Amino acid sequence: MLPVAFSLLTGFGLDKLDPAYAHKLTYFTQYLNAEAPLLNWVLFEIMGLFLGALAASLWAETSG
Amino acid sequence: MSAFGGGILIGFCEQARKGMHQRVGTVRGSAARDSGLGFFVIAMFVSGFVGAAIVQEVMVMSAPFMVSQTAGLVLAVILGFFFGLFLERGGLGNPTSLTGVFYLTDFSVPKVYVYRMLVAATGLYLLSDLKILDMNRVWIVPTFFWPQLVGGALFWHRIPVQR
Repeated sequence: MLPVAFSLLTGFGLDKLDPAYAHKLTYFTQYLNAEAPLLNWVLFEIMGLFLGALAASLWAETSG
Repeated sequence: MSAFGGGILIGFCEQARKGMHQRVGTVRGSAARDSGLGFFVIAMFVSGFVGAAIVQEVMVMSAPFMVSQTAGLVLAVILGFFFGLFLERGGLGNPTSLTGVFYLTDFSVPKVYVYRMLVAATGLYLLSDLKILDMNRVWIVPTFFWPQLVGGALFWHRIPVQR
């Protein structure tokens, strides 16, 4: 999960900085050719994972 | 290719680690162990990059469930939330447990991963049979028998040295 999210965000960031160069890289084009690259299943799952881990951490603190 | 590259790199790390053991010093054991872990992590990253560069068939994951895009994304957050919650509450985010895998002192993480694979495999086919999940949208890692065999052999070769 994490490598996909990391690659997606790297590709998206590179696309914002240098779109021509980003679209030349085959590895990133798979992410950039989507209509909305950030509306990605894995990215949302990672966000949920961080929220869940945060909730568990807060839960552990409150329960002692 | 990734597994083969990883195996070769770990083999080189093994050789480097053997050299570390022969050095004189009061903390040579821990120093060798730490450097071995460092090499292992570097090897994993390098093999991942090599694999990504060589293997052209990479995946873009979208929701494998037969639901709308919005519902799929909401489902992703909910599933991720509970995944993170149970991982953290189960102590699998504990750095001692995670590094214990590489030092062969704590096998709780691999045990959970094996059970996770069994549950995932069973669940995938069950959901597919129930017409909830489209198996054609699930990317299954292809088997490269000989490279994975060589990589695995090199990986396990280093384990007796680590004890």
